Amino acid sequence: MSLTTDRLEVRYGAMLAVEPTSIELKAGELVGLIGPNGAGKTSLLRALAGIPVAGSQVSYRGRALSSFGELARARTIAYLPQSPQANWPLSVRELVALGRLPHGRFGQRLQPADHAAIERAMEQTDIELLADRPIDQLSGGERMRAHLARAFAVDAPVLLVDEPVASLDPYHQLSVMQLLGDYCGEDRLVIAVLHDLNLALQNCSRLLLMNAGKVVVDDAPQAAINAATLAEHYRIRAWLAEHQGRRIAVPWELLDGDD
Amino acid sequence: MAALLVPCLAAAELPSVASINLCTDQLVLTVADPAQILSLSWLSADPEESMLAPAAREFPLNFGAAEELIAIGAEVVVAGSETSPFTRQLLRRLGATVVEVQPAFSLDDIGRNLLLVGEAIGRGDEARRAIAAMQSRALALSRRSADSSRSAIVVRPGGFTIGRNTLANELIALAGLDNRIAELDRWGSLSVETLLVQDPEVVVITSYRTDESSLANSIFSHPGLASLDQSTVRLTVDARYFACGTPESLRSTEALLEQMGAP
Amino acid sequence: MTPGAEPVSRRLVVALLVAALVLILPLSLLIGRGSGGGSFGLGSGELAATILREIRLPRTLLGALVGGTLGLCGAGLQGLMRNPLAEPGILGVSSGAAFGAVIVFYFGLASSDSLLLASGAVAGSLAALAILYGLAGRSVDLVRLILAGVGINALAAALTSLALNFAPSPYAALEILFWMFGSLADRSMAHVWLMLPLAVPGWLLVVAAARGLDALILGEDTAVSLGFSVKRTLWLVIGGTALAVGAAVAVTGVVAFVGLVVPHLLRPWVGYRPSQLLGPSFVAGALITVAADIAIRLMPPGPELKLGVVTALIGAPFFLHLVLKSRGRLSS
Repeated sequence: MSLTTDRLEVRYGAMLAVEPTSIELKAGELVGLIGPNGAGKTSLLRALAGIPVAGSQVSYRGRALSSFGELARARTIAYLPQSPQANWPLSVRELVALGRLPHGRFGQRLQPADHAAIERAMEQTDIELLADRPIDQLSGGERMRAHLARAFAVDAPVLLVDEPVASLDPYHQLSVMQLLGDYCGEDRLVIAVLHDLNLALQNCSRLLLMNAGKVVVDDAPQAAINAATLAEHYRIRAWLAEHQGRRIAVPWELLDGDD
Repeated sequence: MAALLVPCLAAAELPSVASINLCTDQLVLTVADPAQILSLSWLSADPEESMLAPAAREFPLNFGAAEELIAIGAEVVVAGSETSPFTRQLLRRLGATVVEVQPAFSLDDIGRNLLLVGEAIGRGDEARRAIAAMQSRALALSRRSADSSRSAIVVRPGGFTIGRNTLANELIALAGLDNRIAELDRWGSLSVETLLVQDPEVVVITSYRTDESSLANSIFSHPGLASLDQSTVRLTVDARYFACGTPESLRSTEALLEQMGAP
Repeated sequence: MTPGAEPVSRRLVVALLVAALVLILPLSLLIGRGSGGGSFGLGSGELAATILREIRLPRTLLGALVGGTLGLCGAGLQGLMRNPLAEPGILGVSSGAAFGAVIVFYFGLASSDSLLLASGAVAGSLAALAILYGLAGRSVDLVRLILAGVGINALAAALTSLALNFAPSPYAALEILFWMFGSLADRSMAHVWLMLPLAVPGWLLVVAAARGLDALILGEDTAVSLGFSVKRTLWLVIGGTALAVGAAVAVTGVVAFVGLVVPHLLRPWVGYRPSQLLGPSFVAGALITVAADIAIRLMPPGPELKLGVVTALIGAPFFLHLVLKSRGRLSS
């Protein structure tokens, strides 16, 4: 299983948000998509999710994504946007059940397979006890887990998540990263846009560092994040250390003068 | 003997009739045999609205719903051409003869309407008699009016006035008044400014429910009206006479002549 | 798709609504105008049958069809806009239809055939839809859509006022005003047959959007990622509403607030997902409208109250209540 992009580009009018990008991503990887603000991470992720943007060329298992039916594509690639919305106060279970929409047909009730996927997603994210609570009465961490369960319930081989840990406390940040790790442990591909360098270092198996619409570094985490890349692409100097054999990067000071 | 019997026999053969419009009520009252009238519209018994209210009070009133008219078994329903299209269509569908009466813009129109209603309810002769009576009444009125006409403007509630091609225009002309707003077709609004600039010899005020306060009647208390030349004559005509075209509309001409002291 | 665990209350509420509708329809056939009761039965059996079949049956059917249309389309639009204040009227479709009918009145054509009046209204609603599509068709921007609706409403209102100003007679102007208040009085089966061929495809379009509307709960990007084109969902709902509401306005004039109130009342009982809400909203809209029309017929004898006036009298305070509640939520 592989998700590949062939000279994928994203344009907004005349502006090129993502320059032609060709990458190949494999099952079992937890890919961190990192880079400074405005680098094109979200644009790339949305293009991968099949949200219409000009010039996207994405293939899954060698077959162009655009040749998939919309629902077939939706069953293949699940997407969780930054700050996911729920516009009506659904119960948690109803929210998670929405993840099964690509599997259903018009007028069809939920099938046993749907119920199984919903229960499993809630179990994975540990929100079974919240199942009947309205989504708008949950804390930020609980809500994020409910939305993650909704994305898990799609049961797609590819999961794209945009900044899933923004606005969560450290406990919930670690727990969400762990959930994503578990998900791709089942031989699935997870691509997560991340801003926290240490979460990226500690949890991802591969990092794509983007800057100015280009994937400038595509490497293992320890190789992708170092003094040189931080200076060049993030324009910061970081305090780098090792703890229990893993690298820690603490952003320390701005680098002025260059560019 | 025969002359006595004819109306009775005729009434038995005449189609039953109901009217659902204030103006057609008055036409029906004018030409129909009372025995054939099943119902008139609810406004017709209101003396503020109808010139024939006392006569109308003798009959059951309706609110213009098809169900009422079907239930009382009206064979002919007389309606205004500009009201209740749904009711008219449904009544036709249910087999009633629906007579649509256009608004009258002249005495000739009134005659035409009388004949239309009369023929539809088997009272064509009565209609022709009413038309002849109306014509001779109009002729008599025109003889009473002065030879030299006086300029006039009609002020209706709400600041409206009437121009050419209206019944009211013909009725005031019959009283020897020359409408200053003749370039206006049918009717339109009148500004107090126009009134002052035109400075007519006569202002004809139509009165409608004058004891009730209304925005429409507030024009009559406009200071501009008060500042008209002292020589301007104010005449009043009951709004009912202009509202519906019936032979009784001639009462407006009579009222005007009376107020102007005509013989 | 229906939810995983369907609350008992939902099924109960839907069953109660359907039962109430089944009960109220024959009741509506029994209630006549005027002196509070069945004036039929007084006459011959044939007369009673005629009144029942030709006057009360079309009136009852149209009440249910128009109310159901407004409830269904209201639920669809609220789902699309993800806003409980959305209503068929806001898109300008109702006022476009009203203007189309007024034009027919204006040229004095209504007197010859009330079906022509209805055709004018349908043409008006389709014209409003065409303008809406021209203004907002290429985008899926809801703010733009609502602004276009505001513009169409203003234009239709201005043109309607213009037509009233130049009405051939004060009587015609009054009749236009009365017609715009909305009424079911004296409609015939011909109006039912006029409405159905437009309304049924309209309903089907809105219902076809049900799953797309469910996906939209999660926002537009997520809806697309779940396989539901936002643009398609949008035009299914808008196009369906224009057809169905246009046909409804065509035969009854503007009946306000049913489309706003019904889905909102039902939501806590049948669930928040649009797919759960569409069917019950149709039933409840039909129920409320037929009930309001029965209330009108039970009034003491007099000129008949207009249905649109009654629904607005009930609906407008409810709307204000909603606004007040949403303000409280924003400030807290």
